[in-house]
Amino acid sequence: MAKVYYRRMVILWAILILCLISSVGLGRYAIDPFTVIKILLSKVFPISAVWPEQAGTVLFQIRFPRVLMGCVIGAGLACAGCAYQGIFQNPMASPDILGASNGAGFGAAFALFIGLSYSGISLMALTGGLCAVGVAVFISARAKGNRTLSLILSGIMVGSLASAGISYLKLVADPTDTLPAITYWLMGSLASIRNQDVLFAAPLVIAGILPILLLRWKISVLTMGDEEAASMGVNAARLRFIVVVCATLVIPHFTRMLVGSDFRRTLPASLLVGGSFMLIVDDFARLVTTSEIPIGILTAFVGVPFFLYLIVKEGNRL
Amino acid sequence: MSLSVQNLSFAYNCWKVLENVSFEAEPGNLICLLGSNGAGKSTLFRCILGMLPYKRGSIRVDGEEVLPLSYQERAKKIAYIPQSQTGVFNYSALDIVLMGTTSQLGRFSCPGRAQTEQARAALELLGIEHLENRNYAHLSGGEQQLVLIARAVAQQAKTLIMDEPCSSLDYGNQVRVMEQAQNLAKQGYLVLMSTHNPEQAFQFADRALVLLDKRIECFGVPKEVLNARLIERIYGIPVTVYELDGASVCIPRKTGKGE
Repeated sequence: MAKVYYRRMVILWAILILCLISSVGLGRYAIDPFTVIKILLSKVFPISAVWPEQAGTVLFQIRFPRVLMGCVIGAGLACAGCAYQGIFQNPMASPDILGASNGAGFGAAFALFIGLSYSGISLMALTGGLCAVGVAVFISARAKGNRTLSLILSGIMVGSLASAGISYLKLVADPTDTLPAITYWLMGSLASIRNQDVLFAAPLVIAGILPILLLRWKISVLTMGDEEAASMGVNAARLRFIVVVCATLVIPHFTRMLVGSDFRRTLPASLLVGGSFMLIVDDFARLVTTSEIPIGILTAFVGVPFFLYLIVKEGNRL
Repeated sequence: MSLSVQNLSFAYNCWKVLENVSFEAEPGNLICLLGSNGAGKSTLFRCILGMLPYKRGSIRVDGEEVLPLSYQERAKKIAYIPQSQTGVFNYSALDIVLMGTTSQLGRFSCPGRAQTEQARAALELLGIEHLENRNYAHLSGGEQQLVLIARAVAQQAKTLIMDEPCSSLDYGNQVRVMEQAQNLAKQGYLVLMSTHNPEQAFQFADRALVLLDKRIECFGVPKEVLNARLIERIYGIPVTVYELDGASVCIPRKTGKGE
């Protein structure tokens, strides 16, 4: 078991590194992977520059931030989705379940509506997401009956509310500029990512990933159910709270097929696959048409058929 | 290592379930808890496991009150063996047993080699080491129950609480699980088990604990305290207890209603 796991992890790391190197080269201005490696090495070793100066600029100013951000976001989403599935004891749980993405969407839409700056939008999105989850957790803590179920239900309700809020903002937004901006933001894109965005967002995402990664064994134990976990020394309510605070979204199904359910293994693998997945999708977003395709559309196009395939093939046991 | 329950009362809101429950148990005993559906057997277990905050009375394990203990400290003293049920995730039998070692780990640790050895030893003790790499969800009910017992052994707590471990098992597996429970008691564990079958108490238990009308009706050697009259009062049907080759069997008498 362990040996198979380590072999698969090596393969996943290899895929991620391959994706990283080829992704920074792909785009309207293509740079071949060997040149990418040479340019990278030239930062450390004195190698004479045989590539156009433009290549270096494109690489460091545009491609690197975009690729790094895509990688971190993909890993973060996968990690969050994976952890949610564990703490809700349900392999179909998605981060949407607590209303985080709708809340973030509403925050961003509102920021765009009142015309905030770029960093204002990011901040509002973050606040919106946290608020939505916070409200859901707050309400469920006061609910009677099954804790998990009431958390999911209040999350769905808060999410619907935020989504209605987005619809209203779209309705009243100026159709010439604000409405397209909101629509485009909601679909998401890595096109405008620059170095300062990476510096702002990456530490946040990584700060969310770390606790989950460290607690992964206890998340495994929690899948046995609250009372059983408690009898084995795991404080279920506290662990769930920590994970919810740290987490938010999506694609660990793929990894679970590769390495099984044990979160000791699923979580690290999810990070790698999530990172690779996002990079590949973003490559397509850049390359398929001359104008960018919003990444939210592409992830759905790739992810949904896979998800449906899983339902048909494996039922609810993953 | 002893378990002592003194004057325990518990109510869900206003609905009283347990009133002034007291008993003391020593390690090395298999105790069968008998009571009708809804008599409060599970409630009593959940109080002992520290899952229900009881307000009146006290429960001590090794002389320590269980409620103020942290989850981890409690798990080191008391292990819980639920009825087998398959979750939605796939784990190997070894992974399930490894979960029992969680209370010995640091806050952010995963089980390592020492814990794996411990889990393997537990599987061996139960005679199911061949199941190690099997998918837990694909095991039979009896095998799953044995894996859960192994998990409790790996937890290294000396008091084991078993909630109707035989309820969905075939006849052979019921006997196998009961024998394993008896073995563990002989090795110095205190095993407290709820059961719906008085004969299991007769055959395997060192003590029978009867919960009737929110109280402990009696507590003692099964053959001495379990008589037909008491069994009739617990379950509300007429029964006769026979002696067969030194073993006691309990057979329901005809009520006439089934004809």
